Amino acid sequence: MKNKIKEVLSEVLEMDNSEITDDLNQENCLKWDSLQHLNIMVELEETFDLSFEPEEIADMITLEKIIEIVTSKK
Amino acid sequence: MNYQDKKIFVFRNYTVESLFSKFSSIEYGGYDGFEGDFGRHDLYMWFYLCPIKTNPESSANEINNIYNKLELALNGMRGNNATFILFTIEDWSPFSFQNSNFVVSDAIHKYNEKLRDLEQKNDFIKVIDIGNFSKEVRTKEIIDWKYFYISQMVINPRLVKPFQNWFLKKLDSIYSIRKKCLVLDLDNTLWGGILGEDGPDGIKIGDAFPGSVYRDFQELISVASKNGVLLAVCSKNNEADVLEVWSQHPEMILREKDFVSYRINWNDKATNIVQISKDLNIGIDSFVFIDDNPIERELVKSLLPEVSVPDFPDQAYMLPEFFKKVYSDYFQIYRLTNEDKNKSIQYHQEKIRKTEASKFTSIESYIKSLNIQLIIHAANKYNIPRIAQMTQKTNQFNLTTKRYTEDDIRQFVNDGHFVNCISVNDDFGENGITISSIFVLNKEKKIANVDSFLLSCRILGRKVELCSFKFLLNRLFEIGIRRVEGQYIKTRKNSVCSGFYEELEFELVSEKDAIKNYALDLTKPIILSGDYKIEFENEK
Repeated sequence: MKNKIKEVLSEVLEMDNSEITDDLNQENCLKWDSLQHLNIMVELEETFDLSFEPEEIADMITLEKIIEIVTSKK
Repeated sequence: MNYQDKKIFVFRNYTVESLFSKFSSIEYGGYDGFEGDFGRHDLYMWFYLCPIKTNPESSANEINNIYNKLELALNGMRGNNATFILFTIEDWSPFSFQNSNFVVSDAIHKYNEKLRDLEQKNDFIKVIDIGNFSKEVRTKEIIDWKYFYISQMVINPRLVKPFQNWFLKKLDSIYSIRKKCLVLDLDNTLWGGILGEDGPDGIKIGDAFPGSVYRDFQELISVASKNGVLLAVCSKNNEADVLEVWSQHPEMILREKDFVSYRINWNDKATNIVQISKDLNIGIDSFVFIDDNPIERELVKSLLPEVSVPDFPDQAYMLPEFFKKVYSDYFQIYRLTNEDKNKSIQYHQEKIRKTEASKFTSIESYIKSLNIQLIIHAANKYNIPRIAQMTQKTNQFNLTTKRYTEDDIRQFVNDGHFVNCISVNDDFGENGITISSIFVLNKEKKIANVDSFLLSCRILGRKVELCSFKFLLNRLFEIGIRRVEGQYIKTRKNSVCSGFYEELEFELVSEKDAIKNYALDLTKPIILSGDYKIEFENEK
């Protein structure tokens, strides 16, 4: 699951897999702007066949939080 | 085509950034704005989407306002040589509770009509129909309410990729890159069944399914042909059988006269396509090949990778849908010039001319008998689209193969350079504008440089290129030019004009890699052959 999520991030953000570190978040990643954030959400929704609530989307701005929320919904 | 070097500016009323994220140099106006930082960009886009409002009257008002803003933006646009793409609006608003209320659709209708009107009146304006996109994605919801409310995106973020693909295709057609010729198989492609086995009465075409599918398919192809797509046939059959079907079969839509060339024999199809390309004088990369047989498709794909070979649908009833896609992928062009519409007719005239040519003993006496008339037109707003199109499409007789947009051509003209195009007529018909030329002038030094000189391949072989070039040289002499410099830049396709400067008695000055530099001192006017009538348009 975690690896799959990292893959999605590396694909959307056009970054190397190795750059997707566990502490990645919107603050420390230049490419992760608000538009890319939406793209990440859409990709995750498609990949895992889920739908996030707006509050969750607002929350999922760290890799840690993303993993937590995706796991909880699966 | 690569649009990375284009500076783009987008006017908008919603969040649209992710739709255009593939462009590296792009800026956005404020929401609902019309100030465009004019003069700094190559391409402006009016990307206003349908206002999503709960009240139909306020939606309609808003649409009228958008048009008023567009007019203000247009004032800023004028005279700065950029292209302006306007997107139409489609009713995506879900809040129409009353069936009888047409205020929104009326406002949209009027708005779109006004956009088309602007396009007609201004050649820097192009209209893209957004309905064209929503049709492609009709199975999915355009609006995703969650994302609409959290990010003001009207177009669902899931549609970003389809939108980007669609939009790039539209841009390609605005900057006019497309294929020229459709090569078609016959059995189980243009009709159902196999002529050699089922006989002329047994093949399926006409009112009853599945014949009705093939009839519609042929009708669609026939319309495409009228819009400038050249048709050819490449089929494994007995030629006599096919000719009989073409002349006798009552239900046939496409007949012998509709094809500019055909190869009906048992040779391999790659060889046949190469021969068709020789017949028509157009490059292999201008062909799209349609065949129901995957083995034939693979053969052509592997031997002639330049030819586009779309997959053929498994079910015959998908043929019309399939053709729609083929047309938009390979042949869509933004604005049809009259040359496009007449192209099929012109190639047919060329067929007759070729037969005539064999009757004369020398090429000179043949040319003389044609009564060729050349009319030179200075570049103007009516012919600039055609000149730009020619620089994009001409590969063979093209000395420098420089590709230009309409904006580029306008720039040459505005900078005072010598830009012309030439239409060629003869006893068999009008060929339209088939030669374009750009001479860059340095009046102080009395030097002209041949930036571009190109000739459509359909009039090759009549030596009009020499005559018109000499005529242009004389005109340059008259305005004080005393030296002309030119280049031949070799490409994979333009060997046909490699000896052009030699024929004109230019001197080879230097040669490096694929580039040869030539020059000619103009000391007196050049005497022109009397076999052609040649004149400037406004001096008739």
